[in-house]
Amino acid sequence: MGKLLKYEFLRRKTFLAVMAIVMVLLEAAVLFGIYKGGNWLLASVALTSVIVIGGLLMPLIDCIANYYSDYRNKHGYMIFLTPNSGYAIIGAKALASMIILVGMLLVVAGSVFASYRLALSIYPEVVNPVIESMKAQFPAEMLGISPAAAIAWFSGAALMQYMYNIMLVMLSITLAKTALPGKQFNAIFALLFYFGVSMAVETVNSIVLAGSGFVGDMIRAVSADNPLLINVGKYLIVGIVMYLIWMAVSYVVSSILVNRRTDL
Amino acid sequence: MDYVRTDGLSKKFNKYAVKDASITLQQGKIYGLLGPNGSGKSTLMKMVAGLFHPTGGSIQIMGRPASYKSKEFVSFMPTESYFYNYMDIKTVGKYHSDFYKDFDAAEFDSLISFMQLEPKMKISSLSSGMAAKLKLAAAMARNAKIFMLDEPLNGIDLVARDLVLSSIIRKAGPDNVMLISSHLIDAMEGILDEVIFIKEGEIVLSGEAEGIREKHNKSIVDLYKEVFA
Repeated sequence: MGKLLKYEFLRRKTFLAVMAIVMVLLEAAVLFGIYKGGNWLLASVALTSVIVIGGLLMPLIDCIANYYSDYRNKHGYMIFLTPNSGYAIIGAKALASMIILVGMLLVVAGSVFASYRLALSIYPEVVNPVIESMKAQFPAEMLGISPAAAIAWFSGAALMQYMYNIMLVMLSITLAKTALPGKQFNAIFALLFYFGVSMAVETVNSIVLAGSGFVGDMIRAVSADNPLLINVGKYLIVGIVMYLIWMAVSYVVSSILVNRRTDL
Repeated sequence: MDYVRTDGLSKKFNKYAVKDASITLQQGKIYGLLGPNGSGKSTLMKMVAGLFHPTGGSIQIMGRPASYKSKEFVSFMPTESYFYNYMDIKTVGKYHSDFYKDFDAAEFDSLISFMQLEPKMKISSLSSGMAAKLKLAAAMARNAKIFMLDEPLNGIDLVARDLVLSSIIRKAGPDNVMLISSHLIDAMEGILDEVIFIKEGEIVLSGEAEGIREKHNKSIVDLYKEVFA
């Protein structure tokens, strides 16, 4: 799988380099805006939104574009003619997306942190109250863990959800290519498969969450001791486990289809 | 030994592209898979190469049911240009070297030079003729058991045709088998040991080229014209 992974990154090297340069330029503009102050601050806020939203969407769009392209164009033969199983091919693609996702999260986090540090040093009287207010609303104490640990848990759950979505997208594209090969609007079919499978998965997830007490806690959430917050750790774990299961299911089904059914 | 054996092989898209095709390819021979455009040659080859999955029937490669593992034995040159545009010719060689144990990098370099290509050339900048030569070099630089060349003369000019044919003859040996599809029968006839005629997805005639010539008292080209007229 290592060699497949190597070529997954080689094909993206120009795109990743351009993305890195764009992120650096955007962050430089954000820092400049914070430094200048006044109306420039508005531009910094807008550009920070671009960095966060663009940075978070990029790994998913990249995964869709590359995987779909391998089925849509003849260059996909290069991968699918090699003596690698569907498991190795799908695994390498998923792993590449995961590495890009983690890298992009680090870039976005680093960018936001750099902006925060500069803003804190120039406008402490504005930034400090905002941070204190955010800390007050964060349920870290109720969870019985440090804020850093709580952030790590929530980030981990969000990462799992994102990866689950990537795997589901890969499964949807594989299903569309397998069930409706050669159709002109294969991407639309893939999108429909994605919504269909997502709905089915969310239904199962809801049943599992309900079974673990989520509905009752929601009803009681108006009380002073909000049970949703008290049990948030449990629900995070249930969520992470469910996402792991769905990721594994998507991976196995996609790989089996590639091995036995999907035509290039 | 039967290197490739298909039994009742079928592939249906909207209609049957290949229907009930049973062929056997034995080591040491060059087979010609002959038929006009749309007769099912490429579909049949892509099933053996593992790019298409059969609707019916079975494929045995080196005595075992075809799977991703059998791709180790098969060097397939599709008719389409299929290299990533981001690659240059050198990267194509490295790619094959990374994935195929039987890939001979020195032979690839020699074929590239023989075909007057430069390792630094980007895939996106190649003409169709250059891309066709590169495909052939990548396929022929392997020491595979089974070679399948889908329309190897497509996009190749008259001068380079001899070069392609001599590459095929040079590679053919007692330990491998070649299946070459073409509708340019006159150019291919001289190198074929056996021929398989495929018409509308069905195998209509197969056997030793010499035997068929004697039996029908005509050249393969003339017989082809008769069958597919």
